[in-house]
Amino acid sequence: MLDRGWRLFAIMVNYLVYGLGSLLLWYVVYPCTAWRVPPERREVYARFLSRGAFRFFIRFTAFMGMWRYHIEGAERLEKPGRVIIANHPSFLDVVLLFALTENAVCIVKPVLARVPLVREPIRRCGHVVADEAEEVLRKSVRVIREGASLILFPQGTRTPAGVRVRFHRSAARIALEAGVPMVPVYFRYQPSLLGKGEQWYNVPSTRPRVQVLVGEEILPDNAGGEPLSLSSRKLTRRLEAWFEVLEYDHGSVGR
Amino acid sequence: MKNKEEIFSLLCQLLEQMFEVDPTRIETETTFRELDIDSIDAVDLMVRLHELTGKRIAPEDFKSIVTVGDVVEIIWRMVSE
Repeated sequence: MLDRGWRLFAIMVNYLVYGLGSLLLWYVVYPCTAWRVPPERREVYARFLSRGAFRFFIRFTAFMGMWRYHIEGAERLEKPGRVIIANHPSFLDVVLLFALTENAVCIVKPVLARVPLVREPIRRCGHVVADEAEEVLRKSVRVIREGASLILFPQGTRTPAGVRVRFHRSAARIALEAGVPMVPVYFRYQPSLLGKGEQWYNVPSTRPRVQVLVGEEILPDNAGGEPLSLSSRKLTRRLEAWFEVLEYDHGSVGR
Repeated sequence: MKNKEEIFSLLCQLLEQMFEVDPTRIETETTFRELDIDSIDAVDLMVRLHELTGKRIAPEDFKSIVTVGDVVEIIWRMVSE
């Protein structure tokens, strides 16, 4: 009970640190330093700052006792120009991926581009706003070719564990068009934390343990130049299967 | 393409080739959503139709498309103009 009260307090502190940290980073640190960076390198610079801030944040929140995390295969997220796909059980998946991925660009929901505190990093880091499909595809391929790694949640929104894995095909399509490997990342929260419909003040009874499993690269295969509409369907099924296996392995254990 | 039936059967053929859709599932009132055709697929389909008919579907028509029948109507209108 005492532990739970502490974690409720910790979560409030974490939110405060997140908010103030964002303000400090994007309205003070970035404007005061970015002028020294040539304009064409500024997005990469913003992503570098953002990664540093998220790294600090995950360590700080773990230190505060909000959660414990264990990462396997982190080095696979250091390579340039990958399409990174992950399941999305919690709000914190984004935080972890931004902390772990080098030169990360994310595809974000259009509503986020209007949220005051998030709008600024989206603009500075050049994250891709998911509005018009063709445009998103074009922009995504471009940032990957420039060396960024693109983070996508192909379930489209936060989805609890144990639900059948169904992906939008855009992730596969982007990887096929860009001709780059995909890196799958599986998140598992025990118990769940900040999932869809869960309020921040609903603190779980035990401290959540998060496992992050970064899988081996999956190479998109466009055999014999078949239409990408077909290859992306096949590739999406492969990706869904990769996540399904882990959901089966882990889904019921220890719940 | 002389009539709507021909356009419809061409469309069924394309949907099968490009998107693995079982043609027996397609009726004029079937929606693209039901057939699991997403917006990128739709763009691919429009490009293919453009190659075949030589006509380009106007963006406002494209946005109004919901069912297979909608595409048949639009193409029919374009080829009979």
